[in-house]
Amino acid sequence: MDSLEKIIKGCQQNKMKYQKMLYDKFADLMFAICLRYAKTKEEAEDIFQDGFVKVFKHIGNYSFTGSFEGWIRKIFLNTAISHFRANSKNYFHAEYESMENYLPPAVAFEELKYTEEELLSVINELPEGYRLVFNLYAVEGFKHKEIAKLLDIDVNTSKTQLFRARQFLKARLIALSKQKRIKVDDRKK
Amino acid sequence: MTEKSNIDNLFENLKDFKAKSPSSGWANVSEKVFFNNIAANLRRLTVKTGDYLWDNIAKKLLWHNFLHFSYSTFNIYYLTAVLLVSSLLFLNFSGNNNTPLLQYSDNLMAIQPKANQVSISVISNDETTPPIDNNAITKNNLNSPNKSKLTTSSNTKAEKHLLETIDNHRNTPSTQPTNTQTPPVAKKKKSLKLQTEIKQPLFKATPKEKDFLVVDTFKVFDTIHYYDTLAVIQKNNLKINDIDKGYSFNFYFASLFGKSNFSSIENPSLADTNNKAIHGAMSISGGIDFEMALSKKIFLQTGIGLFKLSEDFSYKSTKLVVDTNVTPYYTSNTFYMYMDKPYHKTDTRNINPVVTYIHHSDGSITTDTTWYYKIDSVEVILKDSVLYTDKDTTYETVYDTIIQHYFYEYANRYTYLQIPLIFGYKFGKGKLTYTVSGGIINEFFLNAKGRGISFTDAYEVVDVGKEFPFMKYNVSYYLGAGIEYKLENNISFFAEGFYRKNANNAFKKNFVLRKRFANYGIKTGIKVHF
Repeated sequence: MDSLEKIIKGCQQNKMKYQKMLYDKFADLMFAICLRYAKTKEEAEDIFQDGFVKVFKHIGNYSFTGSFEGWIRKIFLNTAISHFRANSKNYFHAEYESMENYLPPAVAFEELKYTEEELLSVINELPEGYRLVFNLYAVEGFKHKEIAKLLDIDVNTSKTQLFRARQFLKARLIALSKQKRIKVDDRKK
Repeated sequence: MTEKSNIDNLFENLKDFKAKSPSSGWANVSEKVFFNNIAANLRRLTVKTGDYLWDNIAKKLLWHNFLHFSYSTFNIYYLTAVLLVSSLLFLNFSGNNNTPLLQYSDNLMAIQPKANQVSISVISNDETTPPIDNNAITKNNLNSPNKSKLTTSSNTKAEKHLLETIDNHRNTPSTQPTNTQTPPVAKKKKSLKLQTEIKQPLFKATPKEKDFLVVDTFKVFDTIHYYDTLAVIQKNNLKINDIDKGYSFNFYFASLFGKSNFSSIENPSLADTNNKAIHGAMSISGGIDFEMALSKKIFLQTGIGLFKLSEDFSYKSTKLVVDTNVTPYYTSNTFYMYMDKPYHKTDTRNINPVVTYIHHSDGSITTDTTWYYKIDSVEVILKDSVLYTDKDTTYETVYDTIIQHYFYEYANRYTYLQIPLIFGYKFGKGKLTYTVSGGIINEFFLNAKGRGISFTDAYEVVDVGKEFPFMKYNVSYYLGAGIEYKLENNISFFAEGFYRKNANNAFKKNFVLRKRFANYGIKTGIKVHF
């Protein structure tokens, strides 16, 4: 197995063999990122393809300083953000009233178990702005100030979006949990 | 000591103190833990991808690699070079004066110069060949082989060469029988053989010449079909001019429109800010192209021109300038000796800002915000002595904050020397013809004037000519469609709508911003044929 450095150098020389190797190494991880930022699988595939094409186009700029995974992840992240900028309008202005129905009761979450597929599907249900901010803040570890700069929004908007995203997720996860319990109870009967 | 013990005992009682936690405390904590766990899982989550995704990416990469130069892969630049070399080789060989236009077989016999036409009939000189009925041939615009030397006035090299070759051939002694009294039966039998022989190529013509060859049949003795190949050279005919005079100089001027956006992997927000500041403007180009016909319908253009790409830069920034002036004033009271262990008592008061708007003559507005802080420091020494010090020092600090509004407006101009290499296809008849063309434009960077937003300070602008590392050499794709109208025999007017886009990044590889200029345009000009 070739080392990552050798693969990257091969990609920098535009060699398809190494491009495929790099793809195989990072495809599954990057596709998961795309799924988190996209609403549908088709959107995720678009972002995924564009992201990899960008990676191979600009891999010549990678100077072997810093983590390559971080570099490639950043490209996918920017691709996802560009994708939403291009395809969405006013996605940071979802009606607050619509969130009222999702305000959940206080529940101890340690009781709840979810599969990764369930978590992904719940994240995909989030309105676009919420999903972006939640992913950037909770998963990628960005600060609100960084998110605001990245998305060209106000810091308070970022905070509000995150708050609402959490409320939404809580409500959906609790509902999901209830459904699962009902199914288990039905089976017991 | 007693006092200390009491205080310690008092707080020791707090050791077992319990306070009731908020009812939602655990829910909130568990929620945070839960979301942290979700985030950790999602961060390392992998999802299996389908093979078709790689196929799509590979196709896009192949296309991308084809459009971008690389030493190791076959790309559009290599293709263009191959096409160019092929075209030049083709032109070189087809235009060689030493190459005979027509390579005649020994079968050539009859020549018909008629007005602006030369007709050549080909008949086998085999002795078994049936004689030719001159009358029959005459009916088909063919002449007797004994006709006098051609006198058709011919100007072009092609015509002269053709006629000289035919004359030379006619002057060689022929063994062809002149007896025309062959019995009809024998004629028929032998003529069948003739027909077979004539199917062999009698001469070879280049693709350019083939455009002028017309093969038709005529009847001899009412039964046998002979093949008659006519080499038609018409003078003062538009088609002939297009081929034999297939060179022209095109003088053109073009107006271009469109806006091209910056992009950046490393700093998308800088690209966005620049994109907001830059607006499309009318660009111009002009120059002279040399055009040569590769065939009746296909032509190649190359030449030299100047391309002045324009953009409007309009940027407004607001900058805070903090100017701090400290104006202390000091008031001292009586100084006493025996000072030891002083302490400070500081009292700071905020005074609300005072905002002043200043209107400038150029229309800009600056805001002057002034904050006052008063720091009142009291140094007090209290001792169990009769001597004490009381020093009252007052500082007045004035923070003067100025909000500066900057308006930057420039007309950015980037100048390139351009050398196009464009292939075109011409169709239509008469004075008005239509063209479609495509190719590449080699662009050599000359200079850049204008402003861009600074990479380090978003409030500032920089000189693009100094700070933006433009590529010295670019390649653009070119696609066009237009019309050509013949004004005179050798002068045409042409107009063409086109689209051109950089194939490569306009800036050097390591620059944080990327851009490919793309423009729509209209090109008009005069074409002088020669």
